[in-house]
Amino acid sequence: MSFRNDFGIAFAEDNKDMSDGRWRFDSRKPKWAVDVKVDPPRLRIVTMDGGTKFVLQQPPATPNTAIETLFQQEHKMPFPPAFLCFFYVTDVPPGHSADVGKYQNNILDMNYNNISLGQEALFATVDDTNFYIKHAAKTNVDFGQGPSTFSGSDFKVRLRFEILNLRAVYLGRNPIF
Amino acid sequence: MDTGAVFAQDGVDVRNAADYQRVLDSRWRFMEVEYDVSFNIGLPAVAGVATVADRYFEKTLVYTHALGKIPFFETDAVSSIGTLQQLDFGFWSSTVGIYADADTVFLRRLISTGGAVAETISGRLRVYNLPILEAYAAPKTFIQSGSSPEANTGIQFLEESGGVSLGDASSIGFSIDTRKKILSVHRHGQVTLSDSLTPPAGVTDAIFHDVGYPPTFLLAQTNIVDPLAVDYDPLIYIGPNMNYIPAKISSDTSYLHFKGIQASFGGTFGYIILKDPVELQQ
Repeated sequence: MSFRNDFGIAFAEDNKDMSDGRWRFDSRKPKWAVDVKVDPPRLRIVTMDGGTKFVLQQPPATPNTAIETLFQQEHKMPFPPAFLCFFYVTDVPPGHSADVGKYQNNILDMNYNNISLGQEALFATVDDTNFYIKHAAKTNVDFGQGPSTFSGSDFKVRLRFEILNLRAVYLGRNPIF
Repeated sequence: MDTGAVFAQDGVDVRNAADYQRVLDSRWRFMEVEYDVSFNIGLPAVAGVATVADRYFEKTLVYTHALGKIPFFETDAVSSIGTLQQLDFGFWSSTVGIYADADTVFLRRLISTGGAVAETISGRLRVYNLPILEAYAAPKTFIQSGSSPEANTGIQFLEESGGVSLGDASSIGFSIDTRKKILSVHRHGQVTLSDSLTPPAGVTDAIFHDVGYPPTFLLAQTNIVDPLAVDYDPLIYIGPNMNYIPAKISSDTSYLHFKGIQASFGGTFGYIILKDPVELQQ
């Protein structure tokens, strides 16, 4: 044990003695934290719509896809950081009324396996430099009835994200393709 | 317990600090990282069994955490023969998964009539000092936040391998820092959910939280429905499903409600409710 390790603060579980070594808090160990005194802020609430109303041809065999970045912010961390992102739906196109007032974390399903349209989602992701909110869509196969228009900006969302102080295990993932 | 320590974020009067503005409260658990490791595990080719009835699971150690409790963990991994599709929510029907028991985190691979090809599984594993399946509720104060002038005073504690010094303005390397927001745990435990109109007795579509506002949370499926009835129960699986839940969530001051997307949503889950509000920018 290094000299450094001898300093800190620790707490045992209630009614437990420190000597049992199973502590609920040990200041030597990393915790989830957010630096709230940096620019740009790493804890934000952002209001946005669902982006472009993609018009994609419904092909007979191979799905067509589209993706765009709706928001990006430099995170200024020395690694791709862990994050939490909660999408809260405030308004929707017809047929989606059950989604209003509900939320999902890190991925928001806008159209999920819609048999005549396909799939569409917002998702959060990070790389070495930035935190992103992206919008993706993919057509279904075998319903080649001409082009289809996705919901895009008909969805209104309020999202809250926080960029944590430790390296991401999960970088975020396009849930569609 | 009448004694302990409380520190609030800089600019918040500690006497009136809301729970989510406390960077340390000695009564609480925090999202404390016990181990953070990378792994790279070679799995050999295995010959198939004679009949489907002879199927079995091969178990390979990823890491020995020796916590004596099933911990909250997160992982993401790739296979040399492609992305681990089983790390999606449908993992129970797949061939390889990552699980934890009271002492280890391990890979489990299904060996059936087709056998298995050699592959390498690599990724990152983070194990937390949180026995997620145990019922835990932190004391709460739930008072409205006050404020005080930001000051040049406060506390910092160094992580063991943080690579920073006291007084640094670094975003990383401090386990406690009154200039930062430190996320604490309000509740954790295990719950069986179903959004069915006729759920089994004692099962609901909701997790009780009583934090007083819609909170942030994490969810991980446990008690896997094992087609082979191999008894690793209780198991916990946490991977990308921690980051994607196939349900729309609504919340009030006391409950999180889950409604499946397209299909019904249900199962047994480990959960962590954080004191961090899902609506506030603080």
